[in-house]
Amino acid sequence: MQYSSQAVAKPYFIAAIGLFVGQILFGLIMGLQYVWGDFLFPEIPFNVARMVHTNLLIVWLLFGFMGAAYYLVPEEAETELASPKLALALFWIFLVAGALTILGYLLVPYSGLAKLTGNDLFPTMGREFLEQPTITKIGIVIVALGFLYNITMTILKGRKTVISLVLLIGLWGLAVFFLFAFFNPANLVLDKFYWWWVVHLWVEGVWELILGSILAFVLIKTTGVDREIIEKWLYVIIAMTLITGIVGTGHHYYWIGTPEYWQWLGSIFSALEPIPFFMMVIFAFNMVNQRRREHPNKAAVLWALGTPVMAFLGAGVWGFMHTLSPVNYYTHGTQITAAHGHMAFYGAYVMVVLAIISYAMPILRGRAAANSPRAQVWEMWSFWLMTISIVFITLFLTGAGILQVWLQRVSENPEPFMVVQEKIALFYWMREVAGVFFLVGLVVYLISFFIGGEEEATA
Amino acid sequence: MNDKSAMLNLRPCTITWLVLVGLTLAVLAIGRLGLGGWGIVALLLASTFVKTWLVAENFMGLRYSALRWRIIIAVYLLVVLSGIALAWWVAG
Amino acid sequence: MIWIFIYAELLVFGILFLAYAFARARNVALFNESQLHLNRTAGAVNTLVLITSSYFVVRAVAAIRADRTRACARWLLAAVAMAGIFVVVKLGEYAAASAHGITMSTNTFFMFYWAMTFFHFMHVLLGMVILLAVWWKARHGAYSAAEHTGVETGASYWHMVDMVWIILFPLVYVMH
Repeated sequence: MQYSSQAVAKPYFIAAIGLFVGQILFGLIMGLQYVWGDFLFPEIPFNVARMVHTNLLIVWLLFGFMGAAYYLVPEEAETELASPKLALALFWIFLVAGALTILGYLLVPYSGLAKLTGNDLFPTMGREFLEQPTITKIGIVIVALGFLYNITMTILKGRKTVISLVLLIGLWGLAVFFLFAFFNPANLVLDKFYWWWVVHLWVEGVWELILGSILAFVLIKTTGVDREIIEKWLYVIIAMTLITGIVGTGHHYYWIGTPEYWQWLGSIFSALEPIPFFMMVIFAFNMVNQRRREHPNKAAVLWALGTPVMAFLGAGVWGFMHTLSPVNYYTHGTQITAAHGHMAFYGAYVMVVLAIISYAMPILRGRAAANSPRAQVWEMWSFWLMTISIVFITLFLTGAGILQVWLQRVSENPEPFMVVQEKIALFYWMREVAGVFFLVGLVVYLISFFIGGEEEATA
Repeated sequence: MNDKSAMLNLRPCTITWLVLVGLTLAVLAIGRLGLGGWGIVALLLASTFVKTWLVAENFMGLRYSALRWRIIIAVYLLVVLSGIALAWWVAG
Repeated sequence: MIWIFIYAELLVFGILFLAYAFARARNVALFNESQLHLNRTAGAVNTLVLITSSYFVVRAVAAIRADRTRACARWLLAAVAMAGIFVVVKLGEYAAASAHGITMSTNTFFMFYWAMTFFHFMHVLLGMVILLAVWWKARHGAYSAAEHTGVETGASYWHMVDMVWIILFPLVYVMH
């Protein structure tokens, strides 16, 4: 580790992995509830399991991004973090607030939670992914501001690189667009319109900048390719991301009561959103092919190569499948969306966080450049187990989705939702089995951290 | 992309500029006269191809670079312009 | 590298052009009628302005290859000035359209008109920023005959903006 303050990344990474485990467990619960409706009812109803599954995902990815920033920024800026103490304090605030919120979801009925937290004074709850009580949202803003202050000051006093600036823009964008979570107009169309400014402009906008910069950092470190070349790629990738992604928001505006032109704008621009992901694939493989050295951390390289491939498939290809408005007319809100969501989040964001953890954790734990080969073998097994599982989850959900679209929407005699759900139950069972394999992969991943400590400081 | 050791030959660029001006004025004349029909559409697309190709070759300097970059631009222009022609044909 | 970006941008515009053409095929009468509301002369003037601006950029590149830094800066400034005319004319067109109550919701033709010209307009503004940055660096002697990648990159981008307009003008303003 070059700068001692980089160590604050470690608790963030550990928390991220811990919450990741929670997310997967709730995913499995929910997956089972698809086919066994009253499983764990009334303790954990489906809507609560879903809320916990998605919220945990977002929170652990945020932990991962913050950890990545705390690790990456001092090294890029060539200076110690502005305030490691603040970083640690914010860690505990964020963790406790996050845990309390999840406990609130689980222990109190949602309407009770709303009453308890004074939602009627400043209503922001009750919207998908933004279910958090208003005070939690305010807490998130405070943590984000403290975090941004810390990161920005570090970059300002140190060396300014393209990677850290792109990361900074991404993180500031993340915070700014989150402010629309507080905007809750009574008009449902407007509500949905701006709701997407948080959701879409996060995952199909500023998060991609964060993704790009973390990936570029890991590639610079593991391949030793000239910074100049990597930076040029990064420029082009983020430019394409913004050109396609911002107007691409329109692909969420087809059926919510917005003007008709969004059908065109949304279709055209979002259809081009795969381009930056495709560039990322070319970029990563090119850099690894041109590598100037063999980095001992093979697992990190594997994650760094897997990220763009799975992101391109999940976000790019699976997104393109249902992004054109005439297609989306039939597929909107079906299991096709779920299939896309699973592979896109895993490919783009889960994998990039695991890539930086894979690269940084051995160093943070004082193991020189990499884990022992034995630990890496376990980690690579977990890579393949989780990645192949998510591919199968996606394929089964796509199968379910196609059948659902056919029986429920396209057919001459459309069948009711619940009747169709019965008919696609087999796909849900197969998805659940794939989910169990994913959990196995995750356990293997956890085990990899406890292997080979004795080979410290070799390599 | 360009051969930097060589001085840029300005003459083809100046000629390109003059051709571009001439063709643009012709397009304007067609527009103001409100001309339409098959011949005119073909003429407009052909002149657009000439103009964009000249910009690529002479202004962008692609004529000094590897063949594959020139082919990409040529294919792009042909696909877009013939796609437009196809759409006009579909429209009848 | 800039070329990958330029090709990607051309791809975006290409798809917009094709979408326009095929949307027109489904509603020829509406497109032909709406097109008459556009100011062809303004479109042509802007085409002349952009190709001339592009030509000035070519002169700037030629100047820097001959190591004539100050001439390079002057040509760049002239190119930006031409771009400024484009912006003024375009804003005039937009103002006239707005005054007639023409918006993106008016009909499919004007949706495309606004979307495509405005998307291009943003590229013109970005191109101007890039050219100004290159001009500023050129004036401060950052480039020479031996090293002027920045000039070439800015020039290539600007020619792309020009090229897109060369297709856009006949397609949207004239062809019916």
